[in-house]
Amino acid sequence: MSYEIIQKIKREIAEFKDDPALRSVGTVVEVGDGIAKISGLSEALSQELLSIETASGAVPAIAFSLEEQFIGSIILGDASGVSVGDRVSGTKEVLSVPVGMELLGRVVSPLGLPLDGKGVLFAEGKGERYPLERAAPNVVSRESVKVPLHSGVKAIDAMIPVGRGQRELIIGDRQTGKTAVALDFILNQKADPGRPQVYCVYVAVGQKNSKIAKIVSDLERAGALEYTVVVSAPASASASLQYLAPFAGAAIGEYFMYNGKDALIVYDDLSKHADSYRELSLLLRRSPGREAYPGDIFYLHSRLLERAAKLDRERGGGSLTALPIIETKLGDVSAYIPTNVISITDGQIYLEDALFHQGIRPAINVGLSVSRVGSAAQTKAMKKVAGRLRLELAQFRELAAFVQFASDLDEHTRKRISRGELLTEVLKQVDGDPLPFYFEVVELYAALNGYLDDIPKEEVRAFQKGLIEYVGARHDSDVVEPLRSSGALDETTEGALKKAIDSYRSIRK
Amino acid sequence: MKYSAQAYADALVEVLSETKGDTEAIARRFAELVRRNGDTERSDSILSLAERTLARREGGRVVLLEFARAPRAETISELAKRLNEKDVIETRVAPELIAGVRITIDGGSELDLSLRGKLKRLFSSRN
Repeated sequence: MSYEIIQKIKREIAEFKDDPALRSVGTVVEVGDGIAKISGLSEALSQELLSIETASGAVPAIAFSLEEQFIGSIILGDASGVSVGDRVSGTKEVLSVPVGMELLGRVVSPLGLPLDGKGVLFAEGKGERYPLERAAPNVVSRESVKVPLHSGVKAIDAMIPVGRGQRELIIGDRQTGKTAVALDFILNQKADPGRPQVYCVYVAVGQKNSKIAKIVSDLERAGALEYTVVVSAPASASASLQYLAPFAGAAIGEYFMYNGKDALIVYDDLSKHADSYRELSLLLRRSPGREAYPGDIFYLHSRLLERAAKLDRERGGGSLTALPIIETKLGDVSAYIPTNVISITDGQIYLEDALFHQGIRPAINVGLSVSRVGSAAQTKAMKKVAGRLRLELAQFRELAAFVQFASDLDEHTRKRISRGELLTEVLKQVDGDPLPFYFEVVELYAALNGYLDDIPKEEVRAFQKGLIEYVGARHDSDVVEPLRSSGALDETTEGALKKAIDSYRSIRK
Repeated sequence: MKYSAQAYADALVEVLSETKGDTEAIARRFAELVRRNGDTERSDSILSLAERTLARREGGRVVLLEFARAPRAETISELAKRLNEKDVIETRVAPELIAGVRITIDGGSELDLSLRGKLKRLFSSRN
């Protein structure tokens, strides 16, 4: 056996044709904090993958800023092994990650390496490579957003609908349920009948390892990990990996999109991503601008989010929906990064700290939340049912300040306030329990058509739960199935739904 | 770090080319300036950049010859004959090369004729 191996090695050496040629090299002249300054390599490309030859082996790096005398590079491997004087060579390649269906159910690093201990990702020779940086689809190759992407959250699907290919920002202070809303989106993709499966990519940037582990286990328990890829660059990862994570996630999402599939990507969160970019830029001595962010911080996020698109039929008709998350400080949406990302995206879901502590969960402020393109993708049934919801809630908000004087108010105002309170109660929903859109239609129909007016506030949730169980069990053929298959609430279905609610009310009494 | 190594090197070359007089005094004053600015640690890279700048200005290049073992003086002079007269030749013993020689021009181009380079190419061609 060993004889055969030696013979094989000998043959390999004998057949090896060496052709040493003049090649471009550089030298590390400064290193620290995951950054290396390199002299030489005058032909390096921007974002080119470099190889630093250290005493302990080759360490990859990226040519990040090309200056007159030096190249500022970010080290991707173990930076402690890199020292001044190490030789650097270019690869003429840009950074890429392996992509494929094999990634589903896996947790990977921004460099595409497995982090979940479930073994190799791809069999030898399998797996395409997609570049981390790629130009966004142009105007001609895009199509308008028209297919809904249901979140399973009543308030969102009814008032801030999201379509496949849209970019919807989730914004709010810390601990207001931003990640929970994004995870509901992922969980709800398990069963959205009549539409192609949405593959999900969850990108964790600068999150605690314990939080990422919990998210992965929650997704696994709910059976959502089988159609989800998690890209993890936790708080313990270097700034360079945190900077690359959203781009790696986008590359994975693009694989699904360019193969005619629908994909959803959650960037959790872009505030920390901006911070990591600021750190790298300051270490590379780029000029600091507002809040010490570099001048191209807007371009950083716009080029990332522009990669979300709905492609036309000639290009496979795939889509990539982006849900970036931004953490505000003390509800300040007018800070630099929040305003940037608000202006890039097609709407925002604004989560408010005060609502969260009042027990309204999800703590969505429907007045400040908006979806600019999603209404075109809303199902007819939902549009018909929820049309009045936003208006009624807006009227309630105007009167909300007078709630404490309710006994002194006139009958009409009192009715409006109690109706607003009822609708707020109806829109409450627990984390991790998204509702299929046809049941959302049933619940909202009952609430908006006065079937819940005589139900005490504290019994609303139990009423809704019972109604869903009743309609699901007894009216699958005449209510649930028509809603599920057509997405519309025609006269016949509406009649059946009315009867179903009436009969449930009579049973309940 | 107020100034880059290249800025120091450019300044030194400029002064040396403009002043024909006391080069020793220039060198002393330059060393004092570097020390005062707290950049003594970077003096090697400053001098190597100055050398490169000077050579380039004269129409030559800085050629670094790295040998696995100390070469004979004749070998170096033989090699020097084949290079431009204005080229600055530096030599270094680099045992990590195992055998052979590695030639680097202006710190930006390399011709690796060492055994280490050959082994590296052999293994990378098998991946």
